[in-house]
Amino acid sequence: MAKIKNDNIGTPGTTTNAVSANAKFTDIQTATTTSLSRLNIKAQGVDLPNISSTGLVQDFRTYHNGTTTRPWALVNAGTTATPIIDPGVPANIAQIAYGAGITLVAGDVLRIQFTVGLESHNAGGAGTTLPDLQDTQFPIAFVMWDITSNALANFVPLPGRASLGAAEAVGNDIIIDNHDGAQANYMTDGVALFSYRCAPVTGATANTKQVSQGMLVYQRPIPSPNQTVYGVRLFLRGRMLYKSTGASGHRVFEVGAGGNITHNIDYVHLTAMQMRHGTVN
Amino acid sequence: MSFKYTKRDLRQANLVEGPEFDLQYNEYKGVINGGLDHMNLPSQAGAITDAHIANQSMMRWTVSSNQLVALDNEQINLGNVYSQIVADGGVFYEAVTFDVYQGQWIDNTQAITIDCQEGMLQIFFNCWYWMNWVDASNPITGGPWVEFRLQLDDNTIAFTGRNYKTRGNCHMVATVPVAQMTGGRITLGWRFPGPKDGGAKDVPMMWFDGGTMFALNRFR
Repeated sequence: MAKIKNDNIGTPGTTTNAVSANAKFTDIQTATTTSLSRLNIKAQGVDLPNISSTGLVQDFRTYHNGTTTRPWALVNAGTTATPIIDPGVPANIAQIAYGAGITLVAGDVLRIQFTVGLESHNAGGAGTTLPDLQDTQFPIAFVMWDITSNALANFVPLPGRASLGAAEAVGNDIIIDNHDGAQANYMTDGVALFSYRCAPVTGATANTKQVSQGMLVYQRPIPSPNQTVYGVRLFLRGRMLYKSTGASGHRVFEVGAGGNITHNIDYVHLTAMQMRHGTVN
Repeated sequence: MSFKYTKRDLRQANLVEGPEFDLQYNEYKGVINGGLDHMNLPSQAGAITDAHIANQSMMRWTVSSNQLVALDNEQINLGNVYSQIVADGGVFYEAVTFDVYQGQWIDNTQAITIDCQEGMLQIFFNCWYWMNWVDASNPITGGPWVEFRLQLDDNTIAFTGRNYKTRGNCHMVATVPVAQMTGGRITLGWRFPGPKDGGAKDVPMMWFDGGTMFALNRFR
């Protein structure tokens, strides 16, 4: 708020009237009612007990399922994305459900962070060590949100993000970036990659043993209408390749062919925090 | 609030003089103009609420790739000047090659800036990376790796170890004390090994993309 000023009420030896005095305190009352800001507060001066509601709206979820029945994701020959589900409790999906929804107003930030530990996979068959060259396939984990309803049946990419959840025929490219043109719909922030390369083991699976982290920070553009978010869900997709079948300068993932791959996921940590501070300077 | 002014009542002949009023009024003014702390604010019942606090009062933040402006907030990537397209068997790989990179720290030209108040600055960064594993970085002689660092006004504040997995993510978080400054510049640096003797120099080696930086300044 603007600094309060004191244009002196009286000169020495004179008195003042109540109207003038009251007006001065009205200034302070107004300032302390609606306009407290960093200009009024000492550094390190205010503790949480002084604030009856926090300036942050936040949410936090952790999805973890021990070691006996790990979450898993089945990648169907690379043509679709798969949510990460608890095999023991199919309704238990790695997601944050907001019920009636949270409202992002212009300037709000929704920060989504996740950690996925990929324990093992069955790509390549038992005892196979996949090579790790430029054309080696790999899976990705990424987030989408549902802004349609709390039925959580319509997960779509966040604005501007690549369509990693879209169904694609085998062999088609998914554009993930377009550095030579508008980047509007090809962003890949919030994508976590894994390597299939691992030591050969006996049995049907191979040890992936890799933990990857993703972070997507979405700021609601200014100005823009409010956006209700009903849920955020983690997906896994494979088999991806980092190459393009088009002769453009675009970086693309190509959907690879092959049989289904089951990914045993050791744990998932999913955090989403909504932050609000109003108008951006 | 610890300071109490003297209540005046005209009917009781406790008349106020201008200078005396000014002195006491100035006590309040001083508190409101920058001296509020936990000693003169209520706690629990009657505490200040969101309605009392002006927007952006307690923190500032800045986000890369927030799309407020289409291209100025692009996600952070390795950079077009290092980008090479290599055709191989009818497909195209695009990444940095040793034709344009010989192995050293490169600080990304993309950066985010933030105006900070004295306090703490917390910086988050995340990206995915892809590395090739071919002769230029022979596994027998060491194998490929990639390393990242965060810099605040050219001072390194965080760096990773060597990442040997050829597909993966870099995630860094740093919290550093900062003085008041305008246009604090946060950049990302990267490096990986230079080519071995006899290694091909036109092979796509590494690419990172989807880089998001989020800086949060708390200064209350």
